[in-house]
Amino acid sequence: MPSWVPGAERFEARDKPREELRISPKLQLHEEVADDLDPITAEVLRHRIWQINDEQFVTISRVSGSSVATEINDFNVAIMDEIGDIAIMGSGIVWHCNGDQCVKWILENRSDNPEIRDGDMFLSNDPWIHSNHQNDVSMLQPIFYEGKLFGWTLATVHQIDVGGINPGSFCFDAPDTFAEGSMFPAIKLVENGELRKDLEDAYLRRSRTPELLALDLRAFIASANVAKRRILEAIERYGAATVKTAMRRMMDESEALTRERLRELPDGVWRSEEYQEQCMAGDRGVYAVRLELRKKGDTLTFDFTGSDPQAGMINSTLGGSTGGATAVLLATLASDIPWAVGGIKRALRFEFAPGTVNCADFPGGVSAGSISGVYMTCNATIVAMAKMLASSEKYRSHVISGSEGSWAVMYFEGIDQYGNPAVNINMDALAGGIGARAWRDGDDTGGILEAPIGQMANVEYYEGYYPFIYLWRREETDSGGAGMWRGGCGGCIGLLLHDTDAPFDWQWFVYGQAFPTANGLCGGWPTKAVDARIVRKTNIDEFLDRSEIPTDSSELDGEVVWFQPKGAYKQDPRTGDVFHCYWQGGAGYGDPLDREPDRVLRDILNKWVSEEFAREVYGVVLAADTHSVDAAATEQRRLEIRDERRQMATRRSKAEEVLA
Amino acid sequence: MTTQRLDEYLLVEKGQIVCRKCGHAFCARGGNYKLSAMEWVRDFLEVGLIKRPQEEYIDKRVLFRQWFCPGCFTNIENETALEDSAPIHDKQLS
Repeated sequence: MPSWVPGAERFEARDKPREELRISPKLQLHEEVADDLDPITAEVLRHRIWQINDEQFVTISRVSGSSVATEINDFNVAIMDEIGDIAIMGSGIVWHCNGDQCVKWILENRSDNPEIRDGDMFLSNDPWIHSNHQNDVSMLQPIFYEGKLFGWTLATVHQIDVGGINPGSFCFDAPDTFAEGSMFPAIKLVENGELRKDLEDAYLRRSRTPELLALDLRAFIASANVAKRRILEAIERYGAATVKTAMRRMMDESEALTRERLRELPDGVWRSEEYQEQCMAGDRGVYAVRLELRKKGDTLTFDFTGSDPQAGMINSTLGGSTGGATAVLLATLASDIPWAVGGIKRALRFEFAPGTVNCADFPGGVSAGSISGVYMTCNATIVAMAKMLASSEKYRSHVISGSEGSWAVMYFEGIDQYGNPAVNINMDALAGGIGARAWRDGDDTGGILEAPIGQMANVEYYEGYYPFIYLWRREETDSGGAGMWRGGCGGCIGLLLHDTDAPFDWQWFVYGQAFPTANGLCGGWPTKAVDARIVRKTNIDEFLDRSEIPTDSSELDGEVVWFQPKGAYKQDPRTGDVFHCYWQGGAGYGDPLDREPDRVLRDILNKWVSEEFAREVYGVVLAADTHSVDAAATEQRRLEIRDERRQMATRRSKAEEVLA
Repeated sequence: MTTQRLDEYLLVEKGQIVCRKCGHAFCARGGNYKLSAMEWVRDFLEVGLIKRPQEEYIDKRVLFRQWFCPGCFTNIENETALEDSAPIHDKQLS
């Protein structure tokens, strides 16, 4: 890893096989396995470990007081073997499956000094080791049995603010990582069962929300303790070698299932590109992640070496991007294979070029890594993976078109209705649209593909804790990508402030605003691009005086301030300013002219598609009653659209040249 | 094997990529079918997929490219692409 900072190479992500790990002899690994494991005991243990993983997850959300954990599920947990290979992981944020690289780094860099001992826990959020960005903080706990390191628990939770130049730590004004949030490269925060107060202070000191971080810290510790206790109970009952054998078998079976599936797919190459506009506030560039996905036999290679050079603060690191690509594979090709990632990853190869937007060198800006470089990596992978799956009659059912093209980050800060400082993130954009499948429509406001149980909080949560009135929260018409199968619609909110005189600052970070970034397949259209605005000096009081609520900012009088993709904007409660944001839906699958007209009719009646869009893109015309399809007019309109295609389209090359 | 699925609308048949709907032959098996497809390059603002003109955000143009079968004018693929970039050779069976 080239870097101008001396010693930076020591913090590089390491996804090494067991035999290459350099571990201090002070640390004894538990590597014993049982000679035999009957299938019934194996299944009992598989489900027991699965249950422990569920309890590990639930403990985080029950103990934490941060909305990210209690409401949103923006976190994940895993149980790993002695070298960090994942035997099972939860269905929170799936790209956190890169925690294995952190364990390998800890084994090599902490086993001699300060040593890894029973009762320790390591906190890490260094993106060059594994984290997606500094906000994604992990707690890793070794589990010892009879003096030997048996395995690890992992939990990763997005923290509201870890410092840096911009509130929320998505530092769009930072030229490099030195102006971003604090990084902790696997520090022993819990030693012999005791939380180190000096290190806790160091961890919390740079945050604007130390009370929320402190709560999550207790949730981390509680979850780790629960998981460790349950694993040890299983060991006491079945024996360490038997439990370890069950974990190995979980990984071996998932590897075998993945390889079998790959063998059934045709060999080939599939390529995709994903763009992002603006690498930081004030920039006007466009940056690409490029993927060449090569499948040969039972191995899949993700080659991202053609991606653009790193720029600004939108980059991700090797660990984050590997997690992103793996997450998409888990959510699509391996959606019905147990997520014993340590086994599945044996069938995968990753190629990145150092110094690129999804494999940044230190000290490149990475504070938005999870929703920039990692998300771009995910989007490029969704499209290439879907194209691979679409080439198989058997596995076309696993195809998913581009899903919520970006994750719109809406940080706010101000004084709340109780007179207290308020800093948090509105995570409603977690309800994006899922892309269409090859056999049905995508899910409207279905979520983010790589966050299966991620969810938006109740309106009442935000209204109760913060001075917001939700004027609307709804699905956005025409936001689902057109296609034979329609992409799921994205969502939209309108927020008014009340009972505070202090202006709120919105820290807005997104991409996919200058162009959509959830791309369709086989003629399916992309979704509609993101947009956000504040309407200032509105006449909202007139609506409220009439006991009416607008459903779109276009109904309001006032001065519209359109957001740039990265920037800070003020909302003044004293002048009735309204914040309006729409986030992307999913993309479509197949030619929109192949969509059954009755499905378009249903879309119109549900306000998922407008009559105008139906006529222009789907070629569907309603009858005079507006509740049925005019079949003759629809047939005529579709002929017109085909004629328009004939007139407007041109050919790049002469047919005979290409066929030759 | 004489026929192999490439995607929803395309097959590989007798060494050529052909349209499943009308049988139009695009190119040899390993070629980029987009080069012989009919192409319509559109502005995202014109098709209603962005709210504001791109020049408010970026210096380059990113366009909506649509590819059609020259035989039946089915919309076989779309891509979001930088202006002047080559069509992505997105599907290539070994």
